[in-house]
Amino acid sequence: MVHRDRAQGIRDPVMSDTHPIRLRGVAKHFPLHWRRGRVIAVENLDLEIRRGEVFGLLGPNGSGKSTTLKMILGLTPPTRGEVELFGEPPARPDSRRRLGFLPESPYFYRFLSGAETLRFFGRLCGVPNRRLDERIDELIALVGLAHGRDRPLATYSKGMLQRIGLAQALVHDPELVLLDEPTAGVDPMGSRDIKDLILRLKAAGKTVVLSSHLLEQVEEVCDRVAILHLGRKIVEGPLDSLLSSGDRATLEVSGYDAARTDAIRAALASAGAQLVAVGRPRLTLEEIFVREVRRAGGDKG
Amino acid sequence: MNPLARIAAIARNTLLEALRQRVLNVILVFGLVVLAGANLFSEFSFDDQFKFIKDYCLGVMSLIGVIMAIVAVAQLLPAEMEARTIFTILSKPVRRWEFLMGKYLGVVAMLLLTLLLMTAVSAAVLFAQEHSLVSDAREGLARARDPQAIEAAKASIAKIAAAARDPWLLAAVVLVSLKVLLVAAIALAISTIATSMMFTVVVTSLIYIAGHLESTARAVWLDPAQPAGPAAKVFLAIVSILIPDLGVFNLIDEIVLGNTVTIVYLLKAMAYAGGCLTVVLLVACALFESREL
Repeated sequence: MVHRDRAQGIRDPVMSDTHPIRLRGVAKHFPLHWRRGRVIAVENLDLEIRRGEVFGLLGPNGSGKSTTLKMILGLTPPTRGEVELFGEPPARPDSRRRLGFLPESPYFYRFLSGAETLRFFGRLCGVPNRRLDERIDELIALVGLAHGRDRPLATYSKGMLQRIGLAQALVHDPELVLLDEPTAGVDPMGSRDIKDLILRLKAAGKTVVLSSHLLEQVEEVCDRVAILHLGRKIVEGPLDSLLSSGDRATLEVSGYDAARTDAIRAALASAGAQLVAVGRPRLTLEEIFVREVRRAGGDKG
Repeated sequence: MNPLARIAAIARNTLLEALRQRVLNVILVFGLVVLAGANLFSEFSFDDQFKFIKDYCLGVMSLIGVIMAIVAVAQLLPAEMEARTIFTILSKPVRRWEFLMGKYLGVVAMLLLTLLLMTAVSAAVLFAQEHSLVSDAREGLARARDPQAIEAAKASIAKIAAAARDPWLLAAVVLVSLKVLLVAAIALAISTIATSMMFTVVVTSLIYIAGHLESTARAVWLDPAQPAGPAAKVFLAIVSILIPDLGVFNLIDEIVLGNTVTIVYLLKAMAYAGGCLTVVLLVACALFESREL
């Protein structure tokens, strides 16, 4: 891919290789009818997504996440500024060849079965016919949809639609995957599977951008995040440094005896540290849910 | 990768959607209407019966074809937008014009299939009518004794067969099909700027009606003897230039009445339809390219 792009003469091959997506000073305004002014969806946005990272685009509803994704996909042109997808304007279909997209609450064609949906999108992405059957089998297995393979999408649950949506985004094995609210409305099992899949994509060297307002889910998978509010970027940085609170750390201790807390405090003091809080580590409700449902054999994946 | 393969995939999918939504049930409606109509006038002379059946079948075919074209095209883009499928498709390496042409060709395939089936139903009705009239005439022939009556019965069998199997009926079917495809293209162009299905249906229907008045408008515009004011002339000129002349394809009556329509006319009508289709589809693609999604 890289060689081909270089042969086509893109503007900045090195940057486009290390940063699949770049936005510089991007704004998107929607004029209202009858000169009633305009809606500012995105204002003065700079973003650089690095190759191989999982990037979270966060923000409340209406903060401009979906508009930003639409501009990256070339579905809507920015009012100002510059959007580059692999170093090219996204309106060019060639730059979209290396990208897979999962729209928010995808519905697809309800009259197609799971396998037919993947065949259709595979053809649009130019997956050769001889390779398509094999690829459909791989994807159905990857997203755990064997039971939905030949059923029309009209009969799918919300979680199954999200799984087939992920499968179609990956049909041509893209380097970059954009996921709009990938876990919204999905049950904890499905959302666990989707998070695992995102981590597998990262391990395979893919770049993943996901937009979400479900923060605890983003926290588990993202390397870096940006928070948008009213169309402006208010925070951006690596998740680790954003979440760490200065010089604090959590120790997990076995054989703890509440009566000897003072001794522990003294030991820490001799190391120049201070005990701030004592609590019992708890499992998360999600961990219990996933464990119990798996134990009961209800995990369709 | 070849744009044709992507257009074909989208067209195939659009046709499949129509078929799975049982659009072709309209053929059942057509069959019932035609059968009911064809048997109403059995007291007519055979010549009039055939004229009636042909006129009736072609008229209903044209009406159903035009209504299907307008409605099917008008809902294409709103349905894609509402289900967000358009975003998924356009995020793939698919150009907007490829998407639009794929949708159009899928509807065209559906319309041609419907017209073909309606033609087959009409042919079956004509054939059944011919069969029943010929068997009546054969009975007459069997009873006939004098040579004159035998000749007359034989001649009427030949006339019945000739009336039932007029090859020019196929020319009428071709003209109806061209008109339907052109109306579908007009609806497509309108739908690229429409914000609702209703807008497309209403505007396309108005253009359809104006298309049948176009030749009159043009005649008045170009005839210096016509007493029309400058404003009226400008209006007529705009109608004449912007709106295709759908009257070109309205030869059902001529053909049913047995008036000769020449091959040259048919070829000219096809070329006219081809020219109009090219222009209208280019406009549709250009409008869709700049549409905010």
